[in-house]
Amino acid sequence: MSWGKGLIAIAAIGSILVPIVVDGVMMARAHMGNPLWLPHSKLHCAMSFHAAIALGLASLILVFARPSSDRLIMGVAAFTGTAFWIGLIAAGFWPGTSYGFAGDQAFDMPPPTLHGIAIYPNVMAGIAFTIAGWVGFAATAMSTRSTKP
Amino acid sequence: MNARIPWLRLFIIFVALFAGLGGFIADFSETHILNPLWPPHAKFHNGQTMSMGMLLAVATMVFAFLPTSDTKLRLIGTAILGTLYWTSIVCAQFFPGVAYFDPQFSEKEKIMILGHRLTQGDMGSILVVAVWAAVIIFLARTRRTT
Repeated sequence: MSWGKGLIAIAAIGSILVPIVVDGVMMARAHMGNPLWLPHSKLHCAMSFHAAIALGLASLILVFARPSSDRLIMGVAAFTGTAFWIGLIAAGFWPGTSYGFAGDQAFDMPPPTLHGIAIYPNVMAGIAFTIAGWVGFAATAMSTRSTKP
Repeated sequence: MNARIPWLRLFIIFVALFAGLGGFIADFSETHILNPLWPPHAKFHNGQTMSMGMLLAVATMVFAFLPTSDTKLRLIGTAILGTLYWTSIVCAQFFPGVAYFDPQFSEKEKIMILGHRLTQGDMGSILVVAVWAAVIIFLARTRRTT
């Protein structure tokens, strides 16, 4: 397997594992188990878990189940592998949202700071996995071009 | 002449746009993102699903008309992208403590469509089954004629 495909696979595995393990298990008290969350907000949280798993699986299938490395397939693999993370970063721009737990009286955990600037682990993970997926795509695209006769 | 119009791909694009734009219109309201009872991080997960719905709708439209010789793969990929959001809605109902609407908006839980009162899950199930049934029938017919 080329390292480009490996990077796309890392982003995809991140989509499958990180949301369900971190939000669904490790921080369940702040999400699905949060007594202040109304039932329908929990439904949207569960939707984000399922969409992340489905997108990650779709990406892995494209990377591993097909012998092709053409630009179209790898582009879709990179998109499906990183769509959850791009959506996560974009979600912070909607009104009233918080990457962390600001204003949540049941789970008040301030984010880590660096020189006074809040560093949200989910945003950092989102940036890292998005970069990994699209650098992987660029690498596969370049290697496909260089192997063409 | 009708055969030239890609009805199936247009149908899948409609399903994807229904999720992306419909989700945005429905959720940008007092029942969701403007609900003062939702903590900010709950709204954040709502923002995630809205953003993903729109991203998937755009990806479905782009993928549906990408030039490729592998039209079977293109159709299956378009169907996956176009139904993924609805599939996640259908699956989400199985988590504990979730609901299609919060108690104060329970009268909005079922939407009247063609004389039937449907939840979002019912609607999602119908659309996902309709898309995949159409794709399977189309592929079976294509195989028979080739």
